[in-house]
Amino acid sequence: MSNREVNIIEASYKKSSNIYWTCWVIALRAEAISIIRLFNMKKVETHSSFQIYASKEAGHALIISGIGAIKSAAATAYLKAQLDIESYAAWINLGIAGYYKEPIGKFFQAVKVYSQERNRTFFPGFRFSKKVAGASLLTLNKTEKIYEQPLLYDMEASGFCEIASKFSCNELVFVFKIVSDTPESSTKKITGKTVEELVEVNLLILKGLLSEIEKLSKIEMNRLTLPEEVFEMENSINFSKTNSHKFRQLYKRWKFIHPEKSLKELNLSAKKAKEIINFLKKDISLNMNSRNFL
Amino acid sequence: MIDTVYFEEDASNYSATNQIRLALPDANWIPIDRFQEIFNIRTQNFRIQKKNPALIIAKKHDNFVLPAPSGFGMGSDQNFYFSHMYNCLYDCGYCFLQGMYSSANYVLFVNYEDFFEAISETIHLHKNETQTYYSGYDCDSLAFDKISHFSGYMLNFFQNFPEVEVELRTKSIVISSLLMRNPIKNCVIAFSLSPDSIAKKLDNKAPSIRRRIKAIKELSEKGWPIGLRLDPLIYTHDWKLKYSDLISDLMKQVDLCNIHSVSYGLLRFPKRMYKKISNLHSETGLFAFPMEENKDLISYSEEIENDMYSFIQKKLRAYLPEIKIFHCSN
Ligand code: SF4
Repeated sequence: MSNREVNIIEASYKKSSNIYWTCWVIALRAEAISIIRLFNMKKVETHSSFQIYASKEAGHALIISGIGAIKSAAATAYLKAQLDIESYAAWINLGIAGYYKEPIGKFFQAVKVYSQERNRTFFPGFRFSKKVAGASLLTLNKTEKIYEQPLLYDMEASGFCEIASKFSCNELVFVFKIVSDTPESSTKKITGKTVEELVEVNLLILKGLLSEIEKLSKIEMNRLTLPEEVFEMENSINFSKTNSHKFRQLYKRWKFIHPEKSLKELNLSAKKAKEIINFLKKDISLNMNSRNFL
Repeated sequence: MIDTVYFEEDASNYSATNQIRLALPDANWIPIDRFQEIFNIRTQNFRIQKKNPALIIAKKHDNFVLPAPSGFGMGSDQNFYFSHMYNCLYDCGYCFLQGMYSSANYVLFVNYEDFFEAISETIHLHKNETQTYYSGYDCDSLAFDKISHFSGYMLNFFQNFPEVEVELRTKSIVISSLLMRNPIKNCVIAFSLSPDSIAKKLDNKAPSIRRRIKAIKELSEKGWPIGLRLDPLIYTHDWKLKYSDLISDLMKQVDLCNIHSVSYGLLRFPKRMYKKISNLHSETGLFAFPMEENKDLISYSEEIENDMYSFIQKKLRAYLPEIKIFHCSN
């Protein structure tokens, strides 16, 4: 399909603007503040103790979960329900983490997340190995002080992964961690200000990752959504479930053959579901050789 | 190339694993318990994952050799396949692996010896029948060979069983290890081919047809038995011209005596697989083309089928005896 055709189809997809492409689940306000500022997010009024920030224009929403895997899981679910997040949105858990070695401030993508307590392992996210180092992460229910194994240590990621991967495909669930403490640099040194700074200095890396993540979300959106005219047609005519399935399949084919046409031009509104299906079938077979199908 | 290797700790001491460690020194090696914990994740997106697959090194525990689906064989009494690997370096638009697995990560089973033990038992069990073994059913037999070195082990094994046949099916041109050794007469190197313009559109990341034909020529000159697989046959408005050119080109370049067999089969998918794959590829024309359902298979209409089959058969018969021409229908 040519770029022009992709653009025509993309332009007709429903709700492609003013949606939340990226959802952040962050434990502490100090970890979140740079992201809130970066996307000019505003506080959303809620009837819970969770704080949500969002910007429709930027397509970002953020929830401050508090510390712990359970809170992270609950916040993820709450954000999804509260803002009616689409299933092609990316989910990001960003935060500080312990690591078995220096340097403080190093940015990682967690590619394996393990919870000893729940005995569950997750392999979140498309790996951006060319842009950022990957590491395994252990989610604990208390702060790690010994750092025995060559891992990242946090207190939220497993709870986040367990829930976020139910909302979007696993490739759109990301865990990014910034090293804040190591055997040489204890957690005692961490303050709100140092946490803010750790995120701030990694914003450039994050921005690079976000532009890639948005591309992946768009691929998923194109796979999962249909143009608004399909829903309009289905709402105006009584389609059974089977007929609606057939209609959608045929529509995709018909649209491939006629990327520039719209259903409205066909004046089908007075027809019954079966007649529309037959019309599309006939049109497709008549025009079978009019287009190169490869 | 491969930046992350997940490895079962049980599989870490095999010689293949050690060779891979040497081949991928910069990869991030991450231990896992069983390959299924990552390979079978339910909400994976095959298309996104295919942009950067990881390698999973695992140990296979059972089902080393399986009967080939009916309609897959080429004249033997018994046909079997074995899969030392799931998934492929290439990304063909019609590849059924996308419908079979939810993950695009490569799984390599490194306990090669266990495969060969199971195959020798099967050979023994059917010793009074003709047998063919197919490699590359769930992957490409040669594409990953620079890392897995599997074909070398496999050929060493099969050269001790001249009474059975083995087929390596591939689109790869990684043939140096084959050229370096003497041909094995019971080992068929079978290349999947489409007309150049179709391959350019659909055989993503695979070597061009020109390079595949060059590899075929080199192997056949060395004396390796060659299989030509015109499978899947893809319909386009000018398919006759395209396939006619491909067949005459092949027959001109390859010594006909060294052609072991030619097989052909229409583009076809089991119904459930078709649904899954077409959902992954809603933007490509291949799945926009009208297909029909027939006995749980989705394929072109009977009219196209008959047309393509009779044309291809006729073309092939002009060069080869009937006994070397096979129609695949599985
Ligand atoms: S070469 Fe074969 S296994 Fe590999 S992607 Fe293409 S069709 Fe699939």
